Amino acid sequence: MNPLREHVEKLFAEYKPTRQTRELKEEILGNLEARVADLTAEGTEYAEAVEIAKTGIVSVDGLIEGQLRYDAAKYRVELLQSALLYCLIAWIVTIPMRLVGVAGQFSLALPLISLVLGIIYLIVRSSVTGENRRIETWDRAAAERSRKLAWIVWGIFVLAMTASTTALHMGSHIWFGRPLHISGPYQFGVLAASYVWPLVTMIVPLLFNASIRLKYKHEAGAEYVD
Amino acid sequence: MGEESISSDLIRGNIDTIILRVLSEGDNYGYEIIKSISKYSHGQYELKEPSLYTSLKRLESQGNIASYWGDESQGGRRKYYAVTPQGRETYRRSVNAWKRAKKLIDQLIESGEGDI
Repeated sequence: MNPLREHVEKLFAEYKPTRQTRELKEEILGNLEARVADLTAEGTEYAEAVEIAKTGIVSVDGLIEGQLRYDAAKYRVELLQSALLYCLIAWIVTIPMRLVGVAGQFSLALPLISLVLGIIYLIVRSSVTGENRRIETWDRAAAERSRKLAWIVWGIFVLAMTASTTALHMGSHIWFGRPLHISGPYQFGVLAASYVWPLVTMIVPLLFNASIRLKYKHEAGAEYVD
Repeated sequence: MGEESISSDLIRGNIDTIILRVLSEGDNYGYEIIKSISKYSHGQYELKEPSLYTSLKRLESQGNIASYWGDESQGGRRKYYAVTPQGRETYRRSVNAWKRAKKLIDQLIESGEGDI
């Protein structure tokens, strides 16, 4: 392969081949070739001219819109850590609800999920050392769309749960022929818990938020300044 | 901070205008733009390639310049840039703004005691 083409391919190795990146690649290559042609016309050896041209552009970080680079290895460890933390908090929140017999299975599943996440976390963390940085790219717009979608789905879920809880309890006299009685703190606790527990699933959209935050935190390629 | 870094800091804020100047003299592609700037500065200033691409992208997205591909028969293709009518207007305004700023900065920086 042409040494300049090779250099340019290397610059773009970590980026997805979109129309924008392909055009920028062509443009950079065209300019590098023009520079080499110019230098050789002035009497520079071809190989030397190629080396000079290559030093002109050693990175395309910051030139590609939408695609941001981040250290995927560190990001994954921290995302797992956040997921683990969220699950544990969710579990703790659901413990008092179990006393009133609501969301029992959910509350049992959470420590199990936490345990699994904890094991994965320990495995992944031990595999990440300073040397094996894995740089990947992400598309901010796409990530923000997913996050929005996650919140919308969650919002619909919570609304549906609230509506069905309301229908079940307040419509008691329709379904069961007798109206709802809140005769004491226990029943009140049951009612409150059945309204509150769906909110605990907020950890799912929150993880989407954490994902974007952590990708920014572990952004790579800050070495390029204007 | 050395003398050189001061001047390149000052130039950095005006790169878009400098590129508009080069392009207002005729359509051109990246490497030739860098060469022209170097020539106009008598070799004192060399625009870095990443800065060039950043600037061209910004100017194009603002609608100040437009691009088209050259028809080179061999080798890499060249992407040419041309100033749009809006770009001409932007250039004119930037030149006026620069003149005003230069006058003001002169007024603020030079003590008038004539020690230069």
